[in-house]
Amino acid sequence: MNGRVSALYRIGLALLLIVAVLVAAALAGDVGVRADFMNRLSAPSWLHPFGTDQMGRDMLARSLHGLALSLWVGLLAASLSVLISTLVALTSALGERADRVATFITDAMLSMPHLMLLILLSFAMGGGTSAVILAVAISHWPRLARVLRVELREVQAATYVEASYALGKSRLFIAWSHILPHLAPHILVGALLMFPHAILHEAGLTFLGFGLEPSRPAIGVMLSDSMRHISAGRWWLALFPGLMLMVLVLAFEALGSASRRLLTPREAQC
Amino acid sequence: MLQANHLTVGYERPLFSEFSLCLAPGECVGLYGPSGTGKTTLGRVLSGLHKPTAGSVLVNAKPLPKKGFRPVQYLYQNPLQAMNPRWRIERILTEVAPLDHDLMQMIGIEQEWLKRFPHELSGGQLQRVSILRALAGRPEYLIADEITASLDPISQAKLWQALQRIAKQQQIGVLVISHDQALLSKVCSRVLNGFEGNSFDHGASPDEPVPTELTQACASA
Amino acid sequence: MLTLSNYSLTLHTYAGFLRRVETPRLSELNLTVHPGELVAIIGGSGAGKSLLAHSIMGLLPNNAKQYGQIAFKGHALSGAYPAGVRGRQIALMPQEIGHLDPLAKVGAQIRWAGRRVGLTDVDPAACLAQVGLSKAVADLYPSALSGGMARRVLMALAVLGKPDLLIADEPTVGLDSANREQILQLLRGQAQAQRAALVITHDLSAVLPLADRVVMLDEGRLVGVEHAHAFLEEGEGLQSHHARALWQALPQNGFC
Repeated sequence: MNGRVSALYRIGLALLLIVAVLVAAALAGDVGVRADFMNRLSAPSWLHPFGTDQMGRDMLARSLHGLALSLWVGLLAASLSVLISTLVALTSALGERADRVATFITDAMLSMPHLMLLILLSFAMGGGTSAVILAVAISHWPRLARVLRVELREVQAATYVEASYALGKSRLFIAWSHILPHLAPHILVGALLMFPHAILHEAGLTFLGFGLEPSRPAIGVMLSDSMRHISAGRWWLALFPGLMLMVLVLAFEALGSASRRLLTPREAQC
Repeated sequence: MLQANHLTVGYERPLFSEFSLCLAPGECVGLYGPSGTGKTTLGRVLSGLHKPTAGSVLVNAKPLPKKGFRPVQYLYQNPLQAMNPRWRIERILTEVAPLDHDLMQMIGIEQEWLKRFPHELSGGQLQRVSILRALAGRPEYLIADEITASLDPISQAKLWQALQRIAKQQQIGVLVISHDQALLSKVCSRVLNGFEGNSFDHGASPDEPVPTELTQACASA
Repeated sequence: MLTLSNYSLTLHTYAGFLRRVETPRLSELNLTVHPGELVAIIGGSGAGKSLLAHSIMGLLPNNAKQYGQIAFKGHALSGAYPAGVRGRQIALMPQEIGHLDPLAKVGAQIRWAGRRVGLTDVDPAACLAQVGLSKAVADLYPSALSGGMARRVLMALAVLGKPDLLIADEPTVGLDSANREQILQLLRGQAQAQRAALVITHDLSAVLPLADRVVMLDEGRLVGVEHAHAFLEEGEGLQSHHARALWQALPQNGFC
């Protein structure tokens, strides 16, 4: 099996896992939300593979709901963040002064502590789902913006772009046919690799109590609830949601690195 | 007529200064000089890729257009860099105009190359592609900057034979920049030998061979 | 000294999106370089001559696969084996000035190179004098060097450990005739007594006066080995058809 085929397999497997989570969460319906006080805090069994929580809710269903929620939050936050990165990088292309402003803002954002910025933003916007999405989006764009700016500068200075101008091609043609196809893979890979960050930060924020509402079945809420029971030996409440989150994040990492393997010319030949 | 008038590039220590040249349609002129004397920069100035500090470049008494196809096309020493690595040869060749199959045959490009990517062709093959791409827009002049410097002698000879035939047929003026005197004397009707960059600092002295030759060329045309 | 027997090299590339194919880049090369010899390897771009140099030095990309054998003084070279041969007994003089550290002065780089080959106190001035540069060059950064000077510094670095075999990759490209002469004379000096030089170039006319033998590569195949003194007049003394064609194609000859 060559490098490209195995990269495709990895992409397929990761996508399958992600889709499976979404489908399973939809099929589970309200199982994870409904309380069942007859079965409070039961250990993993055939009926409840991940055990149940203090209100007797099935942890498997709750974890699936939590992951599905994380996926949506992550998708929105990462898309928004990539959009900001792209716009900032494009601003850099407008001219010397625009570039200096854009670079300054990027550097200023990078000089602030990541987590503190997240907490402040989310808190200032009053918490909740939309606040988390915005906070993650606003705090995550600078790194990708830097990468895109460098790539943009490189392709703008490329000899084949100069040749294209000399052949009489318009700026629009060059932007569309030479520059965009060069940037697109970087944007896609950047988005895929930003996804796990967004999901982890969402969970982290929620765990600390600055994120999603406690009423929602979010992984962060589950983990923070589990804190009260873990000393009493109810290990399943923390282990399974945490493990599921890890697997999902790893799936996205695999998706990102396998796509990069296929899309970037230097790695694509092996 | 391609005319360069008193071109200077650079400020305190100019790369070259007060350089003038006339190139007639269909004429093949050589420019010889040691490396590092600004021959490449001069070629780029003549084709409008680089702005001179002073002086002007005129084609048929008009300045070079800033938009649209440049009538003076620059041919790169390393054509691989001048092609989008994500494009196939067919798309590269048709960036300006549809394929001219007669011209393609004349310059020796084979049909099967069209489906390949630039890095899958050899240096000599790529240089042919680069020339055909420039020719598609009907240029009046070509600046050939060391275009065969990294080719083996056989590919070099074949490429120049093809280029000379086409230049003659289409009345294209060619400025051949090279460090190889033997090559220049073979392909050019006249060779400018005096190009040594800084030595033009205070204008050309009367006993320099270049300016006299140049004035003659301009006067006769 | 250096023997290539049935040496082939392929690179993985992709035909279409998923089908990986092995593209042959060097095919069935057989060649021996003797002590005291200067061998020129001639070929156009894409002939595989730089790949050959990198094969001998063991500097191949990940997607390369080798067949056959390269042996140095009777020992087969493979991977890092035998230790210390590459870089000491075999040295490479690279093509580009980019191989010098832009942030270090020439003198420091000479001392570092000396330490790498096991010499503790190297005198940069003496090394520079060997390649015809003044000792003031030791205080310059690479960006202040002209093309010819940089090439000579690369040469000084390559010959520091007195390698038995020096491989020079396009040593004369972009140099004017005076600098070219100097570099080639230095290479000729290397190929004396029990030492040898392998010069990789596309410029046949430049190396002819100094080479002992000329090896011609075309699309990864060896298409002729000739004695350098056979290249004269109409080329009647040349054995292979390719060599005659090459000789005839030079601008100073038939150019056809």
